Amino acid sequence: MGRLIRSDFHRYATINRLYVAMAAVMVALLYAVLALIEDDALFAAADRYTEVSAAAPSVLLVLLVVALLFTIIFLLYMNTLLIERRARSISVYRLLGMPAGRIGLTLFYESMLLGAQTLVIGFALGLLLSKFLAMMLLRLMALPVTVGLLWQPHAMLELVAVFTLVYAVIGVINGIYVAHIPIGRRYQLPAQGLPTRVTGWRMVWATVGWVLLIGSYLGAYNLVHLAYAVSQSRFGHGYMVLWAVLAVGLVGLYLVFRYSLPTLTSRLVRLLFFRHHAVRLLTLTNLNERLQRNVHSLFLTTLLATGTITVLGSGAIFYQFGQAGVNQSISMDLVASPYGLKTTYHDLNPDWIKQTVVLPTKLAAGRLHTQHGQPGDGDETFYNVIALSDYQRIAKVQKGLAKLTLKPGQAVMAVYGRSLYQHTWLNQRRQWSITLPRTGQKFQLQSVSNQFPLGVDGYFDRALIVTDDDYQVLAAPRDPMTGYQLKSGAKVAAFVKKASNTSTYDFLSGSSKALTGEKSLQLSRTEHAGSYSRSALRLKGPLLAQMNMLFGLGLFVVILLGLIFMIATASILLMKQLIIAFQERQSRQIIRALGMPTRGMHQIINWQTTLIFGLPLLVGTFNAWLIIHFFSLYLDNPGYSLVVIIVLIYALVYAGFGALTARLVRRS
Amino acid sequence: MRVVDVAHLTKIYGHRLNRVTALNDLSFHIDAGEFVGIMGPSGAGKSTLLNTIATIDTPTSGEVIVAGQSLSQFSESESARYRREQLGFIFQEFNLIPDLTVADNITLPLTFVPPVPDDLDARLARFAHLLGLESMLTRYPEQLSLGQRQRVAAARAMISNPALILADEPTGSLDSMAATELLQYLTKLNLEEDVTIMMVTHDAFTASFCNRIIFIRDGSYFAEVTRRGPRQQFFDSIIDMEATINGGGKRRGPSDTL
Repeated sequence: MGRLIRSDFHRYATINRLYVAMAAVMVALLYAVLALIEDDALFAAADRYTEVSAAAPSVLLVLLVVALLFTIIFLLYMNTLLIERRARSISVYRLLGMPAGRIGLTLFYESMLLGAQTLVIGFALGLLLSKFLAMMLLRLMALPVTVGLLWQPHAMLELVAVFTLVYAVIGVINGIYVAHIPIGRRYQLPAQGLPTRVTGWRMVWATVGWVLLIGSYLGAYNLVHLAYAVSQSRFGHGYMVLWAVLAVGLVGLYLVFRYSLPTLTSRLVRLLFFRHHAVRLLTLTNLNERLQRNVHSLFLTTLLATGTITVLGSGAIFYQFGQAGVNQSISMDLVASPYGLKTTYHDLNPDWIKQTVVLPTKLAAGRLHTQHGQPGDGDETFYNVIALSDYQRIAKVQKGLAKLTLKPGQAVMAVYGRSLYQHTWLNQRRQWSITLPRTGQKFQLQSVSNQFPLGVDGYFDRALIVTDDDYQVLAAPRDPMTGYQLKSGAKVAAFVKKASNTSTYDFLSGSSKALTGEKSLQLSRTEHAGSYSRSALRLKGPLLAQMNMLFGLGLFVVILLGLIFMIATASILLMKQLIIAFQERQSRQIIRALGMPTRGMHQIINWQTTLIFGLPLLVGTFNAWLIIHFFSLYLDNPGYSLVVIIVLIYALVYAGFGALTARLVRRS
Repeated sequence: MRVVDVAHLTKIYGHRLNRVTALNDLSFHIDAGEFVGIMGPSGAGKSTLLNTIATIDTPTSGEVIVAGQSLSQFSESESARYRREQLGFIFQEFNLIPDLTVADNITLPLTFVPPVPDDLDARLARFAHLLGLESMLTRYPEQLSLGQRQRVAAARAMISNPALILADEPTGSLDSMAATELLQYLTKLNLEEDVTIMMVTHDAFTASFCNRIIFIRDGSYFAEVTRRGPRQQFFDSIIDMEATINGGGKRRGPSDTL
């Protein structure tokens, strides 16, 4: 038996090494997370800075459970791929009279040996990774805590127990599988079958696939407006559109993989461009065959890629939202209304102030006019009206405020959550206007922004930027805001902490008379039914710390999950490719014998690998982009820069797996 | 004109104490337009010889010259070019690409490296006609009988107008009717197209379609038989020679003829 195990390890050395390496990376990640959770000292140190960090171990524990379950499913799936590959030799052993029990025991021991190798390498890697992961978490959460390698024997023992059980189960499954391998007749690989003929029905399904997929893509791109349109109609609720787009997209994607792409490749293969170039021809026929034989695997890999990129991209956009959201909410260290200023001014030492900015505004009720039936038509709310020159002055110190040019009678509306008001081909903005009923002034809307001077938290609802002349003639109550940039230091920090514990608010009556301009607007310190309110004193520091904690932790979780999903996706593709390459070895030998140059052989392998890896990546990226675009709309377009960086890193690592696969196939 | 010249060819596998001599100082030649069979018992070195001429294997010593080119100096890309332009292959297992139509299988070797010859379609039509494949060009290999598949392989071997066709047990997977039909087609190609064919076989009936049979044993030249009369007579002499070679008879000179 020992000799059999040795010979098996020798024969399947490359595949086994890859299997161990991939599983070891997953074990390393699991160990690093578990060690992080069990490091009480680290979180106790973090607790000194903010309370949000107290939730981190619980969140990480959920991450650990999800990652562990996923790893176990991944190992079981990989084992299925690996054991199927050995079915032929096992059937020969059985044919020669080796008892099934003995082969089963051999496979069990092999599984345990592979498990032991995985754990040893995984723990060594995990120990190194633990410091890196802990530093990443602390950095993302903006916590000034230092950390070393996380040595947690308890975590190791727990994982040893779990994985011993997992590998034992895998060994037992393999043992049972042996008993079901056909004996007494030659084990046959699945018959390849003829390339599918392009029949009328296939063409119909292929067309339906494209129509559904493109339709769902258009629907997903315009989801907000589509959902609004449906919610305004008699047909149903807006959320139904979400499910409908998702369902149609999934069915469309499956049909495209099942019918549309094979039909397309079958048509393309007739073109002389392919027929007269062996590399192109063999690449395309191979793709066609994969689409026929492995359509489910390709479809699932695409969904997995979509999920992974969505998880990573969403984490990134939420993190970016956290960062941008703070600046959008409060653009300076301290922003206060006159009442807010009154409550805190005696504590604020003038020496701590680096810069002071005053923004005069006037409060007015306004009514929005859009096209009939479009979102926002007839909206009545309160506007802080701002003169263009004041806006431009603030724009010099506040990043993100766009440069504006206005003519008399024109205005720019700033609104928080502007997704419904955006100019799209489904929701074209023409001749939008705002009237201020109290004064009878009317402004043509030039654009809609989501950036407020000094931050949205200083406003009751929306802002309206008008020319200086229009501002001068507007008779309305004044509502100035003051922003301060503070110096750093312990005393300033103490002031900020104290000020953040006070809760002072300004209120504005939201009665119908106030909104229609029949009654003048008045600020008060007491709340009435239907009042609009805002915090009179707003501080950036505490909000930023909270956001960093929350979204930093979130980004850490999704990066880890994305990493695990990506390793799984790429490993499945890699293993499948290697196994198929083994099955197709004879075809390659024929082509080589017929005189195909080595360069041509390599080109075919490279193209095949690129297509098999690229197709899920490309489709997955596009799907994920639509989902992230939807989130981005709801989060008021916080920007895609971090999303692009993270998805690019993902694509690079994924491409690395592709390159490794091509190299291994070439060597096989 | 001499197409194949094998001189003192030796191939030794393994090293030190575990050495197996597959070819041992083997020498023979094949002239243009000949249909030569290579016969010998199992382990005689037939496949090694074929692989060496196909540049899939390299000799330990000795030289092989095909169409005036010495194979020993070839680089990887030159070997591929030589196989593509000078050789045509017919394998026992057909080795057709299942995803390609018959037409694409036949023209495949000409599309490996651009440019594609202008007369590609004309060549395809000509060999499809010669081998009776006109009605099957749009079918896939799995839709053909075994005999038809081997004819497709023969057309693929012919399409590049090679100097030499190497056939490795081409009738090994065929029933007797299909085998006879294929051999008649090969004879037709040999006679009408003046193609030089070197066929490895262990079957005397298959070998009887050749003009000359070279017998090898233990990697060395053993004897050869040349056809001078009717096929039945040639067949009998092949059987006789097989009996001699299997019975441990002594080596004969190259002049044995019938």
